[in-house]
Amino acid sequence: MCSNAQIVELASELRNWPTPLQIFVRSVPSGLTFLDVGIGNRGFVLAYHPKENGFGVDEVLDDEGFQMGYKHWFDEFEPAKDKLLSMLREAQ
Amino acid sequence: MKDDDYSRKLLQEAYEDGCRRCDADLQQFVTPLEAWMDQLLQEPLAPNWREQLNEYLAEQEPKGYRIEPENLWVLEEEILLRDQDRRVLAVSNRQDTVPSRASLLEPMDRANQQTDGTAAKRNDPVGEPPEHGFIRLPDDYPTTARIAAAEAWETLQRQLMEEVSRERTDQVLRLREALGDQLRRKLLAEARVERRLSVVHSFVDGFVAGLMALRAATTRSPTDIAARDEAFHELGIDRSAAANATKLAAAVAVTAAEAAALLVAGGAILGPIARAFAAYSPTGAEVAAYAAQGLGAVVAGAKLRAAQEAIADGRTDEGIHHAAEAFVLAVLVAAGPLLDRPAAAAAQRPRASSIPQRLQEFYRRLGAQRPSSNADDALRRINRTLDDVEDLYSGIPKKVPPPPIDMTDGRMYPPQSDFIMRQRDGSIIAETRRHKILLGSEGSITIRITRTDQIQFHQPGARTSHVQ
Repeated sequence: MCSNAQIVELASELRNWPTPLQIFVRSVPSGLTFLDVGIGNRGFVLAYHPKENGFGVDEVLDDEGFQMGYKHWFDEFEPAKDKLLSMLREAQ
Repeated sequence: MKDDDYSRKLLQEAYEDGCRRCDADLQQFVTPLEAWMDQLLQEPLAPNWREQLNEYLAEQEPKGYRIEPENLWVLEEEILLRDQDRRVLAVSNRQDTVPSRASLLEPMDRANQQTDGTAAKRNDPVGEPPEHGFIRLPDDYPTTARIAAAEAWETLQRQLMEEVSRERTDQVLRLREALGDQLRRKLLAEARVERRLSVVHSFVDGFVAGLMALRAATTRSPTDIAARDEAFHELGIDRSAAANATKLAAAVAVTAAEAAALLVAGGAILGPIARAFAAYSPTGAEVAAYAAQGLGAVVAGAKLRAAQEAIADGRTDEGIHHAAEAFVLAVLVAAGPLLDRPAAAAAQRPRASSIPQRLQEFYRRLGAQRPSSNADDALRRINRTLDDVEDLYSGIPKKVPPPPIDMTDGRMYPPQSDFIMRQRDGSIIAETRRHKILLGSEGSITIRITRTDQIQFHQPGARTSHVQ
């Protein structure tokens, strides 16, 4: 399964999350894909970067600008997914 | 007293004071050295006396006294000469000892003396080997011969003492010169600084007195006149100096007027330029403000140097004129930002450093620019403006290409090509982790926060103001 499809599938799974989430999937032709998840007044992102062929996971803070990096970086999708889910659980 | 005479007197006093201090300071080294040498020469020189000397000199170095290696031989010669003196005097004090003619021919023969100071055995049939290399005459030696020998010894001793004394004087002079040369240079440099300071103090005193004279001349108030006279009296300024001070005050006034005129003219030119820069780029206004201040400071510094040189060369009037110009320019440089408000406001604006502050500055600059007429121009403007802000305020040098996504450096970078999506209608969409940047085909710029869809920045395009 390609990364974009994995992210879309994760977005579908999150729709069954116990508490309401705001979920957006954005992608551009290069393959760059963002999964934005809002919970309460906090936001998180899981992004696939095709050039680096990896996944970034981070909390999106209200005071951030045009930064490019991520606090957590994974070469595989599953650990990135697990990290996002754990952050969502903590934010509940 | 004329100004030239006054300056010359100051110089002479400073020089003499420097020499006195030099001698006094040198004495702090020479006196203990003399005592050490006296102690050393109490006994015949030990084989390792040079090592002892080097150890003593090494102990003096932390106190600031050092003999250059090339001058050390002077001191060693001095010690050897004193050792010769000691031995000669020791012999002459022996009333019961009269040397033979043969021995008088080589009274300094060190070969006859062992290193432990005892006399060496020599094959002399006349008597026991004496101390210090001289031979005791037998008691039954003819009286006339004894007298002749004694007279010869006295003559030779006198000649020797004169010779030694002359050499010693030369040696001591050379030694003192070698020791004092470095110290003297240092003290003279200090004296030179003090001399300049005293000249500056005189200038300031004269300046104040001149202002009082100018005030008295203007108001003709008895109080002001009395104050002027009192100031002159306290400073010991005579009529010619007072005239100079008045001339100085007049020079200050004229220079102030010239500078004010220059400021007005400069303000007329720099003001619109600074405002134009400010409209386009606040950084430009800052640069203009700093350039104006910097130029003023440089000119003031040059004037001050010219004043110092002129005063040092005795061209007092010229020096005073330069100093007055430097003073007024320095005041204007300090007051410049207060007078040039637009540039000052730009120069004193707090420097952004955090990302929110930098983002706010980015939006402010973007909004102050002329709108774009197409999406590509808008994208170029965003890239250029963000780079400008980050160059100025982030403190992080730009890397080309940007660092990999998993090795961010904390600097904000414009959206890269793989973050961009070009639409068929000519618009461009750039995605970042928090923002969506929409660039309309007509040049509009809209930056939204993705999660809340809130518009954080919008600028209509040159051809339309429609918000997408």
